[in-house]
Amino acid sequence: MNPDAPAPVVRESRERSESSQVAFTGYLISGQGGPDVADDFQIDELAEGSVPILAINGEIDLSKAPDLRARLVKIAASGAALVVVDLTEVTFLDSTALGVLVSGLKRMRAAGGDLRLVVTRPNLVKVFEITGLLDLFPLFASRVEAVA
Amino acid sequence: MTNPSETTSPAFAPVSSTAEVLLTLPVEADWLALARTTCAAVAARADFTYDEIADLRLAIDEICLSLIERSGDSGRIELLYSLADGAIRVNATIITTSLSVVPILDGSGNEFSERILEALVDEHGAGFSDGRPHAWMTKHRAPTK
Repeated sequence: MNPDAPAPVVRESRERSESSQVAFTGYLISGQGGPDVADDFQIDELAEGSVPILAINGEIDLSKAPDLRARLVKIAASGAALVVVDLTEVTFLDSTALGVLVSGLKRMRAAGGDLRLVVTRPNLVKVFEITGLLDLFPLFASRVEAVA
Repeated sequence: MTNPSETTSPAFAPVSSTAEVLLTLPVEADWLALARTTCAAVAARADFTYDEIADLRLAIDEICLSLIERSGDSGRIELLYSLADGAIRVNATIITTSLSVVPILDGSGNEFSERILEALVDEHGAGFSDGRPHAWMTKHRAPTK
């Protein structure tokens, strides 16, 4: 979200009935985008020797996946033989993030390269397990292992 | 001095009876985090475990994604979180002022999303409710040991 953009204004209303139903309605009156709910997302472009590293913090969902996709496309276009995506500090990722990572892998392999992931959080490992992506992505415990 | 063990914060007291929370959001990607946060908060009130809440955060995100794909990123989404009998059920429905912005379902879906929902919740589905795109999921709390 653009830090220079005017802060979104949220108007909310609440109703409580006897059946303990709570109604909450929030919507934008001005500004762009939604609320900054735990919005600490950040991608740092680093390097381990000649290998580009994308070190990501925060949650990767539909709103953040396009940023990751753009950076992976740029790295693939640069001719890099290997890119490492470090998800150590990622606390959440959904199917859109998985789709971006798979697309990035295919793009790199089509050019004879590779994309490797650093994943240590059990909840993220679980996502790769249940989607069957461990067959496609070997997960590494550190950047050093991933670039070796 | 009050014994800490006797102090219970009303805001985090477990909920064993039926309760419902209704959340209405714009169908925009930036609001998904609020849908997840609300799901986690409701589940925490019903004593779901940390791991179960993590599963629910991902599952509700996938439910919303399926509706966003159908709505063409317009309109509003209504999420009804219901607690009853040790389970949380979420009904998600697209609400829009113009039916023309809701495309017909193509049935393709997202393969990863389907696998995630199959693994993380007990029941889920999608269809139409009063002509509006609708998706739902249910997850039961694991029995306490």
